[in-house]
Amino acid sequence: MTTTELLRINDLEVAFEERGELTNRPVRGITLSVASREVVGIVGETGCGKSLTGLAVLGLLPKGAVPRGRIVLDGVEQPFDGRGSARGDAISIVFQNPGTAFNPVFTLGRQMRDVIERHRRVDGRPLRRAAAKAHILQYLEQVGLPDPERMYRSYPHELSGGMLQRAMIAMALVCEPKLLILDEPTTALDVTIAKQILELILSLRDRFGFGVLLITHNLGVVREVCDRIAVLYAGRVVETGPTGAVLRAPAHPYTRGLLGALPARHRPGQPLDAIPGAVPGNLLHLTGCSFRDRCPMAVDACAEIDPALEPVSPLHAAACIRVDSVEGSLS
Amino acid sequence: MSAMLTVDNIVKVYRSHRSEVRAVDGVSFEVEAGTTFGLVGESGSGKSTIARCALRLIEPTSGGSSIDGEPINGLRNAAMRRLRASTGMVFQNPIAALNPRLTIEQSIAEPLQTHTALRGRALLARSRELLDEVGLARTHAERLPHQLSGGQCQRVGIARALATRPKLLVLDEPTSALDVSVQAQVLNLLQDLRREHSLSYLLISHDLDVVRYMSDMAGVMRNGSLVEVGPAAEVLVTPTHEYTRRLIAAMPETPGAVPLRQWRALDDSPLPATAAPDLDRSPDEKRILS
Repeated sequence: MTTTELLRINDLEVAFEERGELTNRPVRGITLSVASREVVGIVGETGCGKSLTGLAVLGLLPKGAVPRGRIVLDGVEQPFDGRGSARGDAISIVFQNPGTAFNPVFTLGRQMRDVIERHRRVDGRPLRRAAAKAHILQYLEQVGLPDPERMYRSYPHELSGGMLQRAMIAMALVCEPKLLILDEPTTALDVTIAKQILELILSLRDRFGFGVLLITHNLGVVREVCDRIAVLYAGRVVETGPTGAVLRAPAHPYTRGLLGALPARHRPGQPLDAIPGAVPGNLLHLTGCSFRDRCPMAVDACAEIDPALEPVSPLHAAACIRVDSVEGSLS
Repeated sequence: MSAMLTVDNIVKVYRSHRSEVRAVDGVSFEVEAGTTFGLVGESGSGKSTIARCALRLIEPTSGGSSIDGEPINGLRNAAMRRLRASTGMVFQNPIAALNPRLTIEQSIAEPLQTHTALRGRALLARSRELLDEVGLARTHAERLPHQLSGGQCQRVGIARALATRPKLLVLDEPTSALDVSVQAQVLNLLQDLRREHSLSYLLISHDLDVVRYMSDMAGVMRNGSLVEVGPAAEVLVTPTHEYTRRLIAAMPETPGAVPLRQWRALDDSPLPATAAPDLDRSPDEKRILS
């Protein structure tokens, strides 16, 4: 695997403003990188800031968002307002719900052609229709859709969720992106179909060599496809490292809590180790560690110190002052 | 032990002028009193239709069910309403399942007003008791659904289902819309409530891990039929049907899951002839591809 850095997110912050006043700060300083050919997972629960991070990279932050920090793709700084962004060219995205991500009144072919016409020029002119079509058919075939000609003429409602997600991936790839962002790509799909889609993403990565930023709440998905992961809590990376290391020996109590809450890791009848409480609603005036109210290991100092990421092994880091007290690896 | 719910050869056919869909095609099983029966299957397998037919929220085309020994399909309105009070249902989308204009307390009082004679103070007392029981604070009583989190709304849904002191709860994907840490809280709550009130559960889920963790017995549905039924620890750990094996192989966290890179070959092999071969095809696609 090459180690060329493809994407770097440096100390990203996203706050929200209403009438000149800050109302919330859902992303509070996220730093992470993706190398080409690498699959990096952003994991976390609702409200941890994972989708906003993805939108920031795309220059698609909602109105009222006040971003800070830097996003650099392949050496080029990406604007937060999306003007001159690499979105659609070097970066593309696959959304969670393929059923609503397509426009229902146009054929798949027409929608994919729009992408090419907007982003691909030959001698300053858009690609000719026939050339665009030939290009699209190749990609429909690459994602394993049967009868690409027919798919090209189909409307979204004529395909199942799994097939539409394949078409969505084909559409994301037609401009040969360097970075593919996947926002919960399998959450809306049945398990067997989800597994096919993950398999497809890995094999396309092998073939085309793009880097992947995978946003998900599903630790199982992360385990299967990610090289590295960043666990987000309350708008911060609380733990990051190679997937195997983080999931085998989680160092942050939140990561341990997430794994402990999985029914797959419990015998029937044995109570699940639920994380008590809920994610803090507003992150504007947090002091100390954001997880301390729910943390089984919190001590007085946790209210004072806002922990930074510290290495627990060469590639593995966690933001917790009690890292040393976390006992050995999980089964 | 006796059966709290008996589902007897239920068939549900949806017809339009052009086509008909056999959503449920002759399904029978029993939920023993005080136990949990888990029904797993992919979308479109008919598991939610079964749940709705079992409580007669929709009429089955043929077949029927009995609750605590009493057949419900011939019952007239008054008798049916009386029997409904002994059942409860918890839905998948906790926020959509609540009336957005009723406060939490009003939502919980609603089934009590419909099914019991409780009014005034007694009604208030019982709603408060239910709030406590599902782990919500008194301060939640006056709020509206949109002011609560998904997990809290699902607790309200459970309180509503428990209001009439039912013996049987049907849980239709009760935690699929929730984060894992919240899912764990809600599953723990459901387990505690079942023990405390000797409830019987019919649990519908696409999540094999949840079903194996929660259930005594489990059934696997596919294309409207049960392909495998038995003790959850056997069906979902050492399945005999190829389809169940395949579902387990696709689950990322489950013991018995197959790593992604080795999985492809397994999935591409055809299912045995008894099962329909097109897992990934909707009826529309079959039309397109044929």
